[in-house]
Amino acid sequence: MNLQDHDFDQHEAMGGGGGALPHQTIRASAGSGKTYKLSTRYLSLIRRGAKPSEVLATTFTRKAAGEVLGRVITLLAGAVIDKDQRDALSDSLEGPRLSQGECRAMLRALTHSLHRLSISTIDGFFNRMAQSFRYELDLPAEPKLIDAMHPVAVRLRRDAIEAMLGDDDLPTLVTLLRQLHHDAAARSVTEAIDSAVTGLYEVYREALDRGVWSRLEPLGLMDEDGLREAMDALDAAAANLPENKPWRKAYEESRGAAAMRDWKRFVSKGIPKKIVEGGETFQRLPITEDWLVVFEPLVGYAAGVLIQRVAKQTLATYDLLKRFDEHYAPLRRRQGVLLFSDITHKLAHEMPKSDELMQDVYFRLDGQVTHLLLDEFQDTSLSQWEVLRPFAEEIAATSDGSRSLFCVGDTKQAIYGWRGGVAELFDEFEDTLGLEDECRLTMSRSYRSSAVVLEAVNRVFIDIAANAVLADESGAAKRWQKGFEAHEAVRDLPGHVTLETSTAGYNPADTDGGVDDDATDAVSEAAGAHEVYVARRVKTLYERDGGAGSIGVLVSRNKTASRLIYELGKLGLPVSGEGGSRLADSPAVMAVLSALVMADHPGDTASAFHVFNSPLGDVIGMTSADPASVRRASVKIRRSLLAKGYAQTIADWTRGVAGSCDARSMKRLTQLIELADKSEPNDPLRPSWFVDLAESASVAEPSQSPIRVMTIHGAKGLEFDTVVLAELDRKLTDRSVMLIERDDPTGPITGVYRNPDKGVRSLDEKLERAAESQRESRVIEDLCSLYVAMTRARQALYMIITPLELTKTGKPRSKGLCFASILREALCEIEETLDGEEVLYEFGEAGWVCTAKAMKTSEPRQAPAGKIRGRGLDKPTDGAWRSWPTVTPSSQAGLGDAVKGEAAKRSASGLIDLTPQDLSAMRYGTMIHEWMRLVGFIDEDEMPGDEALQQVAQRVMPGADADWVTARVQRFRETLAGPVAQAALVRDGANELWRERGFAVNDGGQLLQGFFDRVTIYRNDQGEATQVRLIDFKTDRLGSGGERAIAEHYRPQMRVYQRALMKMLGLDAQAVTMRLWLVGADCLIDL
Amino acid sequence: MPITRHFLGWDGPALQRAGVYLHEQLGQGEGGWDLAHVVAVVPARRAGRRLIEILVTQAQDQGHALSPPRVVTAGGLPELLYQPGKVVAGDLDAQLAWVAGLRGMAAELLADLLPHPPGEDDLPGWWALAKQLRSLDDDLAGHMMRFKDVPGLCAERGFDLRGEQRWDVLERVGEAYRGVLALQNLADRNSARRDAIRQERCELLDDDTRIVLIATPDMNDVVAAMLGQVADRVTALVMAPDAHREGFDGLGLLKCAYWEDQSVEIQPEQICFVERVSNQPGELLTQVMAARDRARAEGETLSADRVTVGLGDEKFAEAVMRTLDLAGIPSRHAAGTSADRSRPAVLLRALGGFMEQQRHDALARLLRHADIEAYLQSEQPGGEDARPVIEDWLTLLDKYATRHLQGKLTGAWLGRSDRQAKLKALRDRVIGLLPVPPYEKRALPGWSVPIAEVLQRVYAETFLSEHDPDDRRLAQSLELIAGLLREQAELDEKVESCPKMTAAQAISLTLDRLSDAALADEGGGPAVELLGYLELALDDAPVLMVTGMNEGLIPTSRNADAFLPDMARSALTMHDNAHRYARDLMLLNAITHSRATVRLIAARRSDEGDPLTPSRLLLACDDETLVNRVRSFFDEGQGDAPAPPLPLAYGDADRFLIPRPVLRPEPIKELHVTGFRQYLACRYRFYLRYVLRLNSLDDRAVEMDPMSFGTLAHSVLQSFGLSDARHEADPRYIAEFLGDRLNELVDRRFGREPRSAVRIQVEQLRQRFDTFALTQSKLIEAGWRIEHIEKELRAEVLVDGEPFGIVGKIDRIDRHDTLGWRVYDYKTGDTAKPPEKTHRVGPKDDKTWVDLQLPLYRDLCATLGVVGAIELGYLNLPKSAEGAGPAFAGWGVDDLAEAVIARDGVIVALREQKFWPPRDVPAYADGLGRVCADTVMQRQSVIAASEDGGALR
Ligand code: SF4
Repeated sequence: MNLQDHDFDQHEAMGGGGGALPHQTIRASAGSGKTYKLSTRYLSLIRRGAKPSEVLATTFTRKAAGEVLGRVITLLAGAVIDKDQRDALSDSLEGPRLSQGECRAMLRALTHSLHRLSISTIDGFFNRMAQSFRYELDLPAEPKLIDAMHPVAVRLRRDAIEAMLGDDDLPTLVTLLRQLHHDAAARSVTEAIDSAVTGLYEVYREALDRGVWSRLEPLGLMDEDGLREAMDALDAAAANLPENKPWRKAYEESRGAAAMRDWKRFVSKGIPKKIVEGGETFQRLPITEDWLVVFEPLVGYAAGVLIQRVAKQTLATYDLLKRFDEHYAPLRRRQGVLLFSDITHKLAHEMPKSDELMQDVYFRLDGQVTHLLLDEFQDTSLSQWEVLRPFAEEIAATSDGSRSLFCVGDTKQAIYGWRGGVAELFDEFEDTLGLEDECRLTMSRSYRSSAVVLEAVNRVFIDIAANAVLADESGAAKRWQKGFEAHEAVRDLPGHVTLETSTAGYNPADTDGGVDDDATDAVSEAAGAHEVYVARRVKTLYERDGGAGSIGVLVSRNKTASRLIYELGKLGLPVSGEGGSRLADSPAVMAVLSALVMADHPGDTASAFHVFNSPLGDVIGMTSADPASVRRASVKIRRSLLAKGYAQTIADWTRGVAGSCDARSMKRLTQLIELADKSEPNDPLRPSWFVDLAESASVAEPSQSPIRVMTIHGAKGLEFDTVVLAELDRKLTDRSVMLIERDDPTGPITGVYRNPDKGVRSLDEKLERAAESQRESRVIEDLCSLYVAMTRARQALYMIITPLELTKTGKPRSKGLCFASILREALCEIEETLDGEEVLYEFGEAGWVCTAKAMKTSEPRQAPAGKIRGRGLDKPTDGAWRSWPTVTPSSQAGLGDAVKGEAAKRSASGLIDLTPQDLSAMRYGTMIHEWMRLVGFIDEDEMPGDEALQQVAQRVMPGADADWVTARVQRFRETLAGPVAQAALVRDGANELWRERGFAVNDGGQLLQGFFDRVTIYRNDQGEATQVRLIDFKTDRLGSGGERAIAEHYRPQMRVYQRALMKMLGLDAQAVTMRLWLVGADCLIDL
Repeated sequence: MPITRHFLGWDGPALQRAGVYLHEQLGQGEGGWDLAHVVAVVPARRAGRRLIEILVTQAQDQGHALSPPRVVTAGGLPELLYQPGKVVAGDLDAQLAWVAGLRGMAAELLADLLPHPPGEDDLPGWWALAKQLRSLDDDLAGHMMRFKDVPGLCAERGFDLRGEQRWDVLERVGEAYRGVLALQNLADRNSARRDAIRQERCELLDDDTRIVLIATPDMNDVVAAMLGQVADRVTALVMAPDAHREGFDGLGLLKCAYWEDQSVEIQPEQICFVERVSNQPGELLTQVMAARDRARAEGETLSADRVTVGLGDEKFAEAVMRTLDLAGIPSRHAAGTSADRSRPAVLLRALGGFMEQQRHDALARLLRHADIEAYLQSEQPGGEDARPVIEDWLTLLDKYATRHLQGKLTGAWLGRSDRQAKLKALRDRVIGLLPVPPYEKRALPGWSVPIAEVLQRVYAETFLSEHDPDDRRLAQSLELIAGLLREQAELDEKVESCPKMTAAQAISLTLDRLSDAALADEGGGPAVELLGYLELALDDAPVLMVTGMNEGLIPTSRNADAFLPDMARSALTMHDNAHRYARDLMLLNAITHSRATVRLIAARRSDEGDPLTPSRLLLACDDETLVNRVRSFFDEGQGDAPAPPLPLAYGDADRFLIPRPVLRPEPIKELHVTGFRQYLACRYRFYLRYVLRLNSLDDRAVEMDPMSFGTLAHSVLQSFGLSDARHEADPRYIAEFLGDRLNELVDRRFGREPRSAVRIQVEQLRQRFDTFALTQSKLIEAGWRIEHIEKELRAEVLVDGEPFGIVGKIDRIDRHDTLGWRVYDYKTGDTAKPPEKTHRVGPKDDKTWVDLQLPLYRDLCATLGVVGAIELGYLNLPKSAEGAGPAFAGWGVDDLAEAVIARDGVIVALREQKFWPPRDVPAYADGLGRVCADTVMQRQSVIAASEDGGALR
């Protein structure tokens, strides 16, 4: 009986079990205690007798998985020892009161099944599932899982791109690239393609069918004759022009554009434009039927040409992606590399088709999934759902209550659309399950935020559909608002909220400075007045409560985040970024990286200079920065990397430079070593890959900085005492390269199109519709972003926007559709001056008290610096430690042959000598030894008979030719009868004879181990050995070097025997005599 | 007669007791302790070595001569217990037979098992697959089953084994494999064992041999069955007290059901929970030091050999060893390091890559192998000595790669002929290393000697010392490789299972086999031993630290599998999760009882952040303890505890600083126009770049960077401007001219077969020239003519009465009869920008000069006599037609006067040698970022600290 069954029987016997749980979905607003809910649901299931191995709970992040797991166990543990906690848990679990015994049994059940708990990230679960289907899915046995930004993935993409480019004929490619780049010839080909394919790869994989990419149907195209006719008609119409100057001008322009065949200009101006828009008049004159007859064919033709161009671009994109994939996929496969998305993709699309598939899945996963708990459901992608759906459907199909579904999430926090998250799945899920209302729960009481913060959230969102800024986006706003209920604070926290403007004026950071003509163009990444203001403001907030609370500074772009981190750092504030800090945030780490670059590229003078002028220079042994010295250092480093790997090499350096490091550098170097550890084994020959990895790596801070700057996406699932929203002025526009169309938001992709400009879009219904729905999703997601950003705040929320500027006419210029405008509209009740640094909205107490305990500082826990007491351990007292190196006599053979004057060294190339071993010679040697073993004292004992010798021969050399053996036996007899044997094998007063005797002795810390061929021992009256004679049998022939050469060859080996005998019998060297007996040559050599 | 059992107890080191048992019960004879007739079976190799040490010590202490027992591991035991009828196939023969068996099956037969079989030529793919199926076969065989038995047994036991067709296919593959062996008259090892058991042929050769099982509670069914047939000759020493007699069967194998319900007594101080997996070495060290201090406090000592570290995860060994090493504590990993990371293995891999691809980057990788370097530096037998020629080959190759952007190595060498000669010599020497013949296909045996010869060539001049650990490792790895190659050589080329392959494939197969081997570190001074969990019980160090006491590691569990998930294993009575749990629990009891100090370390999270759970063994305790333990694991786990730093004493202040500039005896007297912009951007970077002339270098470019793209464009435009074509007004003519010149230059620089990306860039440049041709033609038609092109000029300006040289090359000066002069700089940036935007930044009424290029051109022009009405501007060749053509600055007299002030400011500062402090970080990588501490958050304070401490060496 296995453990869990055993516990469960016990558990049920104690009155566990109880009624089934209904399916449930929960829309949980930010901070409403979703994790708690999920955890108690889990426990309810356990209480009702569900086996832990059959409850699958998935989350999106490792952190969330850890929270749920920890919560589940600690809730139970708390309930075991504390009545109040038990009662509280009872309330959450419903059903009868929990007894202590029941809690204990549940805890036991869980801990006994720890190895079978399925509380994990969705990726983790998919990974497990995919591995069990790896033959079907064609996955490597031990895949290296990486994301698209990992240096390995980047390199593989580059290789794939190069291979793909090599494939093709030039003109096609050049055209394709032009099309990708809206008819421009950008300089960096690889980068351009890389960014295109990286951005679209997942779309491609979801819409593999070329048909989906060729949905556009250019209409209205005519052949050359038709076109000529239509143009002639246009020309002829000049005669009928109304007496209206603008009309005439517009007509001429249209005619000009048509003549130039500039169809884009043609349709985007004048009368054709009106016709496209469906207008009936132009310049207040009706566009009569006559004019329509003249213009419509050309408008149709123009539309046809333009749509055809989009269609071509779309297909070109598809072809590019396809060709790229044809190279990229095999490369990944060959390298045993998997993208995280590969697993989901394969599970969603490549599982074997079978009616009984789920049975197979359960079999291989080693258990059914009877209960499914899904966290952050709104972020589930369609592919992920594709994998999960069969589980859900199976569960839903069983109505006996033994199975259940539970989904929690918040469509208001659906900010992962760009990553494939589809919030609409939530609705679909509820509908397809046909959930009763009581199974659909909404939670909008916040355990996190202060009433003040929630007030602001409510004000912005409660009637977002009425926000004037969103007038053009009312569809999206209405849809968003539908799910919103006013938030209520559970806890009574003091707090403060403002909407304020930063300093007015010049803002260079807005202009995208980049690399210009040559790489040496200096465009400094100076922060603008806005960033400076934000940084100063954060400083005041930080200093206000002496760094007690946490401050989250949220922005929308990584670039802004780094700029702000830089500014805050400049002010001396303790700040870190998303997912910790950059590893390269330490001069010591950078010196190490320079050393690695130098190892790879001795010609990189900047790196050499850097290393030489740092404390590392001495440690590496650089005597100067001249090329020869750099070259030596470079070889030395590469040698070390090869012998010891990256981690150990860097650790060695770290030891050397420790005295020149402070605690912080030491910490970073430690982290660098850890990184090296994890990325090994890897290419020891090209250190640059590791430099890339290290430069892009960020490290989780052991204790987080009180101030953290990150994107709103990165802040999901986090909370801060104070939140500062610092980048609210970015225009909310859809800049996607492609338009993706689905007939049903949770259905497959039905159309993909290049996203042309608005004018062209308006020429085609499909394009317009796709753009429209894409835009709506985008706006909804933006609103989610704003909601997520605002709700990260526990107590205080500062929203900092840039001041309005004046237009030429002296009116404040509208900022267009952006968060700042939405907030202004929703919150600001004063007449805004344009001076900047103005509070537009304020609520709560500026002097609010932070309730957080002071944060731990990042001081290392262990005794630093000089406080490490007495390094190392003690010397062994008795000198006899464990693990002795072994010396066997045979390992010493041949060491006596002089090697290039260095007797103690052996030739490396000699070790790879493949001269085949003469197997029969070896066996013959063994046979002789075995025979000799049968021989006692020749003058006393009976010699072995032929039969005994034959038997031995059969065993040692099975299948040997019988005549041959007979001949050998005969030879052996002759040898025994010969003078050498008669001299060597007599008792001669010896007391004891060892034959083929194994030995093992400790000789000064070495283990001497082997076999003596034949030893005779002489003892005195006390039984102590006084003399030993050793004979070693060899089957060698006497070579040209004669006896001397043989003796030298075997001398080291014989010395081992000698030492062993001395040690075993307590003798000195003189007492041990040694002889080699060349049995074949019948010659005895004294040593 | 049944097997003799003897309980060693677990209140002391079991091996010591086993030693005593052996010599007391079996070793008493004339002339010492003669244990030659004893076969001692131990669970792992290391315990065997230690047993011998213990016996030797005991014998020497008591003055006896020892003849040691034969020591084997349980896995090696079966072959001592039977005589096979046929020769049993060795590892390589078997592997190749599996490959042949698999490949010989038709795809449609395999389909149920392998919908995606490896490609026909994908030898490594088949190889890997064969390995996987083989290990499944071995696993089943250990439990006396074959593939074909599985469905039947499951059915018998009422277990629903899904996918029976797959087992059919597996059985057919197995048949095919055995068929291949049969053709070679070889037997499959598993079958031979099975037959021996079935036919009750198991026996011991010598009449007096005794088998002693030393604490082997976990042997498989095959070994057990064989031992059963020689039971009267077997003694089982069990590492447990008599009280737990019930927990073991007659062979001393553990009974799961008994141990499942046992608990382990662990004191709170014996458990250490740390935050992240990589915090464990630090914690371990802390605990070791504490143990040492406790020992000292009691007047004793703690030496390294009295400490053992248990590894829940063997991958963790290196980190532990490193941490101990930094603390001055020697350590040793019994399992050793993987041989495929050894020097010759890395070399062979690089060589294989080179042969397979014939690419520049493969060559560059190979040439960075230290042993290749040493080889290249060694004297060449005969012929001219190539050493001086290739001294700086890496730099040479890097520069070549950057300049010529070659992918394949097969084209002609480009560039200067002296460099070509050097590179060719270099490549020829590498080619000379390759196995001969490098590119034909041969059967595996045919490659052994050629591959060995490569290594012999490389290591011809290398001599190894016994006493150098690096040398020892090299020797070991070379011997291993030689062994594998020899084995491969001895294969019969003619048999079917020996496929033809390239040298590169032969190398990769050899390396794959090598990866199963380890370079053992065996002995040499007192050291902390690192052992796997299963070896810990028999270890006799008094201090033990176990890392990785997390569920999944100790015990391991298998929760999903393609063939045999845990439930299936249970149904087939194979070793399953429950078995492993019981075994590890029994072992943990033995471990904790048998020594003075034990610490069990577990981490709360993986380094990636995945939540971990404690080992269930830690929770095999009473209810109260359970609650406390889970709370301390999960409750306290929410905070982020800091990682312990390395065990090194560090300083008070960081001395990694930005090197301060050193003043030169003579200040700069002359500067290139672009230098002004550099100086204005950051004077320190200017110093590094212009005064020290530092550069970055790598070899990774696959296409032209903006700089070389611009240079190529300039070269074409220069030759256009110098030719008569410059007078042409026909855009077609101009475009063709430019195109032809472009072709010529590209040919010279990138060869006949430029990389694909370069080819595209060239086409794109051609398109830009097409647009330029239109511009140019319009200029001609408007009456402009090119007067000067690419003029190197030098002007002197007086600042504070002292002359200062300004040098620069003006791209182009045009003249118009009535309109005067136009001075142009060609710009090939992707987007066209007006000069104003690049020269000055800042609010409208308070702009600062950040670049002085065009204003300085006025100074230079003056030396040509170009004076009067001068328009300064760019001639843009951007990526799209938009913005193409001239763009003028339109500065007035006041603006230009300001520029002069800015210019003079730079000159004065240069004279004063103001190169400090570094300014803001530029927005692009310039290769100086690390020197300038660009990515350091507290950069300002580093700069401030460098103020005093950062003097240059
Ligand atoms: S923010 Fe995330 S983790 Fe926190 S309660 Fe809301 S959903 Fe749960």
